[in-house]
Amino acid sequence: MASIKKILLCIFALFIFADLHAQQLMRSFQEDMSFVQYLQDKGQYQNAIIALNEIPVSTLNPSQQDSLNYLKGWSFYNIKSLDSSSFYLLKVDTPFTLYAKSRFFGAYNFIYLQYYDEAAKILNNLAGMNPINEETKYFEQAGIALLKKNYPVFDTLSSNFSYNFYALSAQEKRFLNYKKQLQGIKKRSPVVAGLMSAIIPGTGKIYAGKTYQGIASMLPIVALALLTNESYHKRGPHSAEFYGFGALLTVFYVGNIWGSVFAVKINREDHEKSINQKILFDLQIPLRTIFN
Amino acid sequence: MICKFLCVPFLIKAQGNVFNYADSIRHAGNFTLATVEYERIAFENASPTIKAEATLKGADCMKMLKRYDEAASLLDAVNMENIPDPKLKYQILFQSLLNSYLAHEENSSFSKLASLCYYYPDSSHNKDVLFMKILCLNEMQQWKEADTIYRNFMTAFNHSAVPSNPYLKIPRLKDPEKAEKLSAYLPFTGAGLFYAGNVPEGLLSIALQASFAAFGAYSILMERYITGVLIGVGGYAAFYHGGTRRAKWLAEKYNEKKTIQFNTMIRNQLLAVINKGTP
Repeated sequence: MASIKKILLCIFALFIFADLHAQQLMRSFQEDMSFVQYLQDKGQYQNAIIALNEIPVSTLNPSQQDSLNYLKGWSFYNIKSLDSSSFYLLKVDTPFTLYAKSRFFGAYNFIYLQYYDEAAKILNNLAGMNPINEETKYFEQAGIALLKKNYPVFDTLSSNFSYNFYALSAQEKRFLNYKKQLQGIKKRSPVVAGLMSAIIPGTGKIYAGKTYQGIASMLPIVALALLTNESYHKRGPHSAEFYGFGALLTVFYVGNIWGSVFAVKINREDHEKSINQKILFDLQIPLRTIFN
Repeated sequence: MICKFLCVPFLIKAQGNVFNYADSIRHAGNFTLATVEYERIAFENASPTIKAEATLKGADCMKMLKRYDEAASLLDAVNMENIPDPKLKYQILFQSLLNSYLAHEENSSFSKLASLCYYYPDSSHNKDVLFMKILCLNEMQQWKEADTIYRNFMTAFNHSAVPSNPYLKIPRLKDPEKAEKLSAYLPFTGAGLFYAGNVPEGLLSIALQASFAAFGAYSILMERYITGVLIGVGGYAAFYHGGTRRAKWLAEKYNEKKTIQFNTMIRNQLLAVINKGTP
């Protein structure tokens, strides 16, 4: 009797041990998701991706696959791998709770990567949303139009701005301001800049908006001109010194004209780039406020 | 009762097995995945000891991946109050200090060392603590203090028969400010550059400064004032100001080189003593 009791107890204990071991190897999907969430909360996005890659996708149902893709996309977004982030976020299907968030952030990643047409396509296909999401859609589309300098489209889209939503109103107002700033960038002529630098070296760059560069390029040319002039008068037009300074002056003079022509384009691009950075920043802020 | 006693060994074994999977990954050399698995253990287990142990092992994997700053941050975040095992606590503090040192955060590692010695007064004579103390002090160029601890370290290892104490040959460092001032107040001499330890550059500086000054003077005498001022004075001024900055930079580089050389030599000697062990 005692030996049967012992055997039964041993079987019972083995059962407990086997169960614990099995629990360790076969985690539930929910446990994995909680763990990934924990890693994301701790800012360990790289580790979250590794943990997500360990989950066998083939065993998951569509809803679980959506969760997996969303968490992967979100982790990639946070480590600034925007291409990968969009790849996973856009795999998320309609019934998933965070479908709208996935689409908006997927589209935003494309905007950031300058895939404007793809982003617009994603946003255009979003339908049947609540009023704030609907206005966010117009806001993002207006942002794309602004980045593409398509002002008529921007005007049409911005006419949908209600300015009633706290998460959007400040950025919506700023967008109108950015449009004014972009339109206000003076269209300076590279030919005029070149001509100005040909007449008075450095003034072309000042005209292009690069004042300090203009002054800095003027100084060596003036110095070389003075040296060439002195060499001419003291050593004569056939002296090596005159040829040397003259050649240097020519190089600097022509280089300055060339630089002034490009300064117009570069200055315009710099100005537009700084406004575009502000637009991209403002495109993201409402998304983080609304969907977090 | 019998049931309880019978179950205990299995339960203990099951708890011991918590690390099996992660340990096997680590032993296979996949430190990145092992880091995640240790983090999972810390997340899934309520026991503060298991959590702390998992974090310690995870940090060790990060150390293997040379992610020292992350490892130090991970260990710094461990809640020490709930850990009953003082040895584990000590290990966490020590590894945090070691990772900070490896991440070149000398000040942070030194303050961690101070707190380790505060919480574990007996540990201040431990060989590993002495070793870290010497390294930290060396990095902060506090060689005199390091010398005292070096002697204690050698005594701890019963290694008093070291051929010569390296701290008797502490490198004499240059003063970068002095190098800069010498160049500024003694032009044409290359004094700053000589002081900074670079004789060829000092000679070149003398030659260039003298040439430009002479050229300037000659041009002015020849009534070529613009050439004299722009080329002579301008060239001289450029090399004069460049020389002062260069002298300061060279002195800083000289100090860096000498410090690294000296500290590496001491570190290698200490490691050799540790590897040899107590005779």
